[in-house]
This record gives sequence, structure tokens and C-alpha cells, in this order.
Amino acid sequence: MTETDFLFYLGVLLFSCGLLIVFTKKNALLVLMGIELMLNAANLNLVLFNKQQAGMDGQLFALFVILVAVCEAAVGIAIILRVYHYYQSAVPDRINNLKEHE
Amino acid sequence: MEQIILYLLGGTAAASAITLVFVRHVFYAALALLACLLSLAGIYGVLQADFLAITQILIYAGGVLVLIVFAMVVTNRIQGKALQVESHHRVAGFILSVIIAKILLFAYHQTTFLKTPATEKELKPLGVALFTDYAAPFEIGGVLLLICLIGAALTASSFKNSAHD
Repeated sequence: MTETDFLFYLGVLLFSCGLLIVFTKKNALLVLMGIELMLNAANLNLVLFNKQQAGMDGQLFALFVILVAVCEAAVGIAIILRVYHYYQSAVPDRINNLKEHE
Repeated sequence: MEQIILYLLGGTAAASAITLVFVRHVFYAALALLACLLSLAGIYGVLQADFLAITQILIYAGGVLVLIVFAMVVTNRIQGKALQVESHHRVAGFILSVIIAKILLFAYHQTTFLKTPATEKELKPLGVALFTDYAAPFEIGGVLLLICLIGAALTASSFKNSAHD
């Protein structure tokens, strides 16, 4: 197993763990953490494959991914705070006002 | 030596990501995420992405994690079982993530990567590229940060003056 293989497998593991967290956890904050983990897995791949190429495009792209991730985290946490104030709960499943109740 | 550091940091990142899946306490989850992000910063350092390593520490470990911990303190105030988190759809989620991992590995092994001569990655070309070729995305990113700062502050404030509660 070469270094590249190892780091790619690490990226795959991080992405699957993030997806699993987003899918299973019953807390909006942990869902946010899972999204951050997936974005970091993508960043790791960008940096890894950029190392084997000429130029800096991968690193710059990773930089913009971090920028957007920060915006997403800030707005996401603000929304979580509002939702928590309204519903008194941070469990995404309980926020079902738009769902039809029979 | 470099390789040993790389494998150690990778192992730490993998272990903390797996911990994040199984942990039941939200604060420990934040700590596991912190360990994962810091070891990823170390990996970026080994991969000659110095600026990204520093950005990762400053923005993720210093900014996003603090924000998450702060939100955690605020949102778990009233709940009886403080800071505990439960999970559901475990089997379906596991199957889904295994499928995604298989697809990624399949794609990786199928791809023949374009071989161009690798160059030494330095800080200066990154800065030059950021202000020449990538000036437009850089400026748009600045505007996006400003917009989301104002939006987050407005969303999180308590709307005392507005009509509905």
C-alpha cells in the first residue's frame, strides 16, 4: 500500500463515517459535524492529488471549500439555534410541521 | 520519517472519525472531531500544503469547533438527558455508507491518473495565484462571508421588534 493509497482510503473512511453520522444521529449538531467530516474528506483528496500534479489548483480549490464550509457552519448553527428556541428540541425528526397529520 | 508521521496522523484521523460514529456524548463528539481536524492539518503539512494546514487549524479547530461547542452549550440546556445523543436507522445508514465507500474505491481503482511532473509546492505561487488567476472567486468568497455573517447574526438574534413573537 503506497502513501497515495493510504490517504485515499483515509478519505473514503472519513466520507463514509460522515455520511453514517448524517444518516443516523438524532442531533442537529452531530449532523453538522458529519457534514464537516465529509467536506474534510473531499479536501484531503484535493490536496493529495494536487501533490502529484504541477500547479496549485487543488490547494486553492480546497481553500474555497473551507471558505464555503465555514459559511455553511455559521448559518447552520444560527438556524439550529432558532429551531431550538421554537421547538425546544435539537432533534431533526421532531421538526415536522409541514408533514400531513392524519 | 515523513512516512511514519503520515501513517500516525492518518491513523489518528481514522480512529477519531470512527469514535465520532459511536460516541454517545455530544461534547466528546466535538473533541473527536477536533482530533480528526488537527491530524488532517498535520497531513496537509506533510503533503506540502502549508497554507492549508494553518488555515485548517485557524478556521476549523479555532472557529468552527468553538462555534459548535457554543451551540452545544446553548441547545442542551432544557433537555432532561443533557448532552446525550441517540441514533436511529443504524443498519440502513451502515449499508448506505458501505455502498458509497465501495463506489469510491471502485472509481479509484478504475481511474488511470494523468501523470504530469509534480512540482515542489511553495507558499508564494499560492498567494500569487490567489490574487491573479483566482481573484474573482476570492472576492466572491469575501462577499459570501460578509453575507453569511450578517445572515447568521440576523437569524440567531431574537427578533424582538418583529410582529410574530
